[in-house]
Amino acid sequence: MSFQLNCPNCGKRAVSEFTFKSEFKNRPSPEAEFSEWTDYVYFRKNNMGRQIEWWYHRSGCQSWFLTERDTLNNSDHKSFWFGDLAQHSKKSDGEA
Amino acid sequence: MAKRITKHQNFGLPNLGEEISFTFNGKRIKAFAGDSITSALIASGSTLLSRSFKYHRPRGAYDVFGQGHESLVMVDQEPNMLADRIQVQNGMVVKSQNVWPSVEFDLGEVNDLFVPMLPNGFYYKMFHKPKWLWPIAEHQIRKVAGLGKIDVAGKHVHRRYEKHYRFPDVCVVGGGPSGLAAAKGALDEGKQVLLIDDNPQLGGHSLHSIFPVNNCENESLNGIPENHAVQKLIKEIVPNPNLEVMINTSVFGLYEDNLVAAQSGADLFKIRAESVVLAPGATDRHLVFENNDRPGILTARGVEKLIMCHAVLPGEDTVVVTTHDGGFHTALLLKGAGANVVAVVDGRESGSAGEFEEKIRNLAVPVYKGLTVHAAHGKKRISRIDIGPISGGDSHKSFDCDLLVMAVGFKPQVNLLSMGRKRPEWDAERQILRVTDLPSGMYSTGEVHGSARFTRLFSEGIKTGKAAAKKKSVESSKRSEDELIMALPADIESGGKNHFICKCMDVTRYEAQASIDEGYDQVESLKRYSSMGMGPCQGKGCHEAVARLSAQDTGLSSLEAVPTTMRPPFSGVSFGVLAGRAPHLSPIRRTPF
Repeated sequence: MSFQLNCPNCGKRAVSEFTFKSEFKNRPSPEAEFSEWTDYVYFRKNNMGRQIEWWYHRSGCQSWFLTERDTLNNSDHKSFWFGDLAQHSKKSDGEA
Repeated sequence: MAKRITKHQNFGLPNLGEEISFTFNGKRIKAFAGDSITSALIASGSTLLSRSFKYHRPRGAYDVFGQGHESLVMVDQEPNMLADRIQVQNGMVVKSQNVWPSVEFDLGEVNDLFVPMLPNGFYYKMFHKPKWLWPIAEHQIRKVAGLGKIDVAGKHVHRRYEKHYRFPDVCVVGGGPSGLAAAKGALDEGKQVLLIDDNPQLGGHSLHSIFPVNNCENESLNGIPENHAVQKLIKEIVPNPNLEVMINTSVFGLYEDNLVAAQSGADLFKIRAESVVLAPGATDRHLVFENNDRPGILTARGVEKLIMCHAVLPGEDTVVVTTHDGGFHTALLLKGAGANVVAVVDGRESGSAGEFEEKIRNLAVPVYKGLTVHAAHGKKRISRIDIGPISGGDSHKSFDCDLLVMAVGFKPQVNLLSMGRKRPEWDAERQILRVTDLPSGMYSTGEVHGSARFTRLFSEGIKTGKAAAKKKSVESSKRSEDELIMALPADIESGGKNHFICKCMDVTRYEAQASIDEGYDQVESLKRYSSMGMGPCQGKGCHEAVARLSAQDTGLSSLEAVPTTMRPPFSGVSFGVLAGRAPHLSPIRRTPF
């Protein structure tokens, strides 16, 4: 792990400046079933391939953002704010 | 006997600087400021530098570039320093390690007599029953294991380890002709370039070559010998303000996204480059034959360096074993320095004679064709060698000599190109192990793709440097017929049980075959069981021999010869360097009071 991650605020930085939180999942509504919340909190897909993840720029601007990354080789990842998620998924759907 | 030379027929000797002295095992040794510890010791007549790891066999200088383990010594209380790499300083205290009571008379040598009784992992096989025996045996084995002794009180630690960062556009690793050309190519594109070399001087192997340069695309380099041409090239590019040069710095790792890790003394450099050009070059091939580890057997490039850079003639009566014109070049340098070249033994049956071969023949030096070295005799220094056919069998002839020069082709330094990601493959045409495809942003050029003339190294280097600056792909390297060097069989089958494949860990061909018989018949498991290629040099010297012999002995063809995985670090790195602080990155917070 020595690749460079793109922070939407600061640009390309060494990955050692960041903290990885987890893969991105849609948050259930507060009224959702107990089992649904359990799945959200404890279960991970552990994808091999491209996935969207939460990252935190710990030693930099201290902001949370999302990154789409290939978990196999970290190749051409894209970083964006949470607010741009809908736009991003639309774009990648279009590409696919 | 070795001696200093005061005059050479073929070139002007370098200025060695003022006379200084240091001690080696308590003995006072005279040296010059321009000497490495090894060159000073050779000049003073000491042949023994160290003892081998397992059998305590005497070992002397071998390649003089700090590739092997032979030159590991203790310098001013600091263990495991490479004498080949360290410049002598006045009053330095140098000691041998892993010897008792002394390097000249080592009691551990009895191990050598018991070789047949010490199979791989013998202590696990022998001491496991009865159960109470192992703790006692382990205690004794621990005592004799290991190389240097650490000063546990830490009194020798008087330096500060620090970290540095660099962000060049192009990072060029290797300061030989192709590395210099690549730097020039990138500089011409207006890029910031960082050039790293692990020797005290830029120029690489060209510094000790008098091959004339012809048809070079840079007109001003034509018609002069290589050592002058490379100096001219250095003078041309070094004043460029966009170039930073780091000498005495070894790159030990390459990581994701072009992170280059390099060590310079007590400093760690973390270099993040847009593109990396690897031009690590090649070293003389390691040939396996009976007693191939004896002191007095040196590589051709090592001998050339000793003569041309340190004005030291490492022996008197010399035999050169070769398979290409470079061996005749070394013979000419030896002859010009006043050595008695007893014979040049050329492994090639036929083929047109090169330029230096003709010169050697004109000097009435006997040349033997289609033969190679079979065995070396002598203990603390070779006294006689046998030569015979390449396929092994009976020896033809013997020569009395005290220096055997090995010029049997070149082994590309593929470790940095591989680094756990790409496996080298055997290139049947060029007869070397090669890594051809690299991750994006990484480029390679030079002798790592097969030996070549200066002109070709220069033009390919320029091309690669330009491509790296523009982040474009570059066409693959080419080699002409006369540049190819045939590889001798990995082992000359001449009988005897002391054919050392791995000199660091004392693994012989006999032991490797015994391990294969025990069922470890793949190169990776064979390495782990016999520990070959796991010594201080980490297979830098022997990975090719290990790959080829493992393939041969396990019934594979030479095309399937694959070396074991090469991982960082490429050279020894002290823990202090990795743990070093970066004070400029951690500001101190103070209260306003």
